[in-house]
Amino acid sequence: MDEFRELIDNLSSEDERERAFAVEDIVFDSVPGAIDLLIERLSIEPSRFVQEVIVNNLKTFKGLELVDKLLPLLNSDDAYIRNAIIDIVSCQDENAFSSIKALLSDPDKDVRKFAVDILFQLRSPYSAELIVTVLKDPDINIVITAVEYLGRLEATDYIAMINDIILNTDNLLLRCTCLEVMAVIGNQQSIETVRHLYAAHTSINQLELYSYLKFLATKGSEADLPLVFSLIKSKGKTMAKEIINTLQGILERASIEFLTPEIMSDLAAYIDSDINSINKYELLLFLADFQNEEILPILLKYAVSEEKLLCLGAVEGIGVLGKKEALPVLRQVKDTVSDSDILEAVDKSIENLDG
Amino acid sequence: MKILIVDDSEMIRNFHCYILKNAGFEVITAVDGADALEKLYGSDQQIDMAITDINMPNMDGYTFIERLREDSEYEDMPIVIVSTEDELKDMERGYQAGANVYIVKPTEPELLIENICMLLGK
Amino acid sequence: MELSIEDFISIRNLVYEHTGMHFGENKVYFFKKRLQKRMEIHGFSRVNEYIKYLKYFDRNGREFQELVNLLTVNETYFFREFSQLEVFAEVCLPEVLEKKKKSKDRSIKVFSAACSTGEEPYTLAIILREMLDDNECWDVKVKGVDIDENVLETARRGIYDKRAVKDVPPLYLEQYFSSSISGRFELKPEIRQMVSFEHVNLMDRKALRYEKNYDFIFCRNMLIYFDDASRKQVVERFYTMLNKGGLVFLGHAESMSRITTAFKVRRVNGYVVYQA
Repeated sequence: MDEFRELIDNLSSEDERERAFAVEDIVFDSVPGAIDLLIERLSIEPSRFVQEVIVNNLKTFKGLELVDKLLPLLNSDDAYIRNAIIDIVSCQDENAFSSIKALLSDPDKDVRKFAVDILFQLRSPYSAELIVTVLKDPDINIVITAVEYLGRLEATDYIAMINDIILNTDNLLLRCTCLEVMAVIGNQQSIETVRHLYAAHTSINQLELYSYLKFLATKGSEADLPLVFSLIKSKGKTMAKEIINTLQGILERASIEFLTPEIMSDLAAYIDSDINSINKYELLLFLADFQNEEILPILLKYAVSEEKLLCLGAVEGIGVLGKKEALPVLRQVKDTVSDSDILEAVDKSIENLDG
Repeated sequence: MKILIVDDSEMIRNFHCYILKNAGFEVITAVDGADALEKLYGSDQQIDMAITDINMPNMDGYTFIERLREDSEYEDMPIVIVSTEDELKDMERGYQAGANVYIVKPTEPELLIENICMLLGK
Repeated sequence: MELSIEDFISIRNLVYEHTGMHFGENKVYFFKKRLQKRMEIHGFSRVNEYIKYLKYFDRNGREFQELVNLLTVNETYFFREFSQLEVFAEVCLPEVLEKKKKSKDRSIKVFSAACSTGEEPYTLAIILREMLDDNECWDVKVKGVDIDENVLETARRGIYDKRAVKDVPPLYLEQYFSSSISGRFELKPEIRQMVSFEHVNLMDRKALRYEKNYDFIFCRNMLIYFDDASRKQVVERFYTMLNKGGLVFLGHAESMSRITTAFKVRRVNGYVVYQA
């Protein structure tokens, strides 16, 4: 026991290094009562470094004893400790479920929320089953969190409950969360629910529009295009990401070869507008999927841009479009640029056009 | 004006992005306090404010704020806490760490924008 | 190949979560090419199929590691990441030297993890030689470690070809290397004796336990190849090896944030360094 005595004493050494080594050795040497020793030290340890060493070493233990000793610390006043407990317990396996399940009905809403976080981070096939039980929690933050996690877990089995929640809530954030989850795991009923809820789309809340577009990106149809194009005019810059994803999703599913003249000119204007280069890059590449004759001139124009992403998008797009009359411009670009990514893309596109 | 949004929930990050972008701000996001510090120090662009959660893995919000305040470059940067923790002791802890404003979730968009504008002197 | 920005961001976040490596938007093409290589091998035609595979079916992280291997450029040569070394030489090192002069401490210790064939530790030795105003008065030790005994043998020989010295400033090449008839370059003894090499497995619990008082640790493009738990273990060791205020330098696309929060994040002339 003396050998252990020294180790245990070193846990309170003045030297950070010594304390850290003591933690490692206590675990490695299987000192009896290691879990208790470490948990006790975790709460009073002033050094973040040593706290992390304790947390990393506690993670090597498995089993109910550890879980049951840690869970009470979820009530700690120290945010680091609370979150460290979530971290450690999330590394456990399904044996921890029974203890965590009990916390789902804890009177403290914060503890209930932490339990949901742990269930999500455990990423077990049974996590969703338990998370679903808090969809009727009185605290709305917990409901919102649960919905988000069901989406992240792609828990399609429970979509009906989410279709129901969106119909029965006033809370903006919860509706947005439902929409974004329905974008991932939505079914036919989801599409009908959303159609019903947002029938008069002129009245959709500005903030909700973002989530609504995300839904349309995976579930929308050509009938939704007028709304998307109207948004290009009013929110083209702030909602660029969402708008572009939605356009791509809808037009891809529509499997069309030629864009209508209106869509063609709106897209051309969009690319010319004041949006970020990365968005223009994406749009240029996207255009190359269609056969309208206006597209090649647009790509040729941007192929000689000095901005890397614009040039790159255009050059790649030209390669996809496959029209041989673009070869002179490609060769010109090859002679003038030095960026390795662009040069590689140019070569690839020239190869596509030549072959 | 560029604002850093720090939250481990993707949905909250998204929602705060919508609120801020809608009001004309540029945003950059981080998944926890450690990621936030990395983005702040690793970015060559000026960041004008941080909006942070408290309970996050890796590095919680209080630690993030305290580390920021230790650096003279960031001792005056406006910081807003947005958290589910709603007790007085949590708010006191937040102000003690160095936050300027404490808002309880779920976020009320107008309230957030009001406070941001107030802090940025607009 | 179609890589929507949405998918690019997904994969980029996945890579960051697992390795701490971060890539800017201007790397979208770079990413796309490498993704395509891996997808072709598996027969995936859509990026989101590959992302799903990485998330849910890559049991032992092997596919992830293959992707990471492609995403990192694995060459080693003298003065690699030159501007980061400039920051070390012109800002960080002088700061440490000033402090040491005040406390009459005349030792400088620098550690190079995964030093391979020695280019990095020798580069650091050259920089130290250049930056220390009075070399006689400083006790300078540079230690390079690697798990591969073969590369260490090469490192100890200190002889390099043209490719390895391509970025060495001409003045230093002349001053610190002697060129041989075969066109190779040999480091002069004054640099070679500043550096020691040791065979170390960083995953060994006992490894480096007794090493301390280091001022700088260079660990560039190594941690990304480790899994989560191993990375934490290695970095823990770095912390115990460093003096208070000592600095860790990682590769320019790497970060500590997924590994530990024990270090203070500092920005020095546009570079992120980690301080104990």
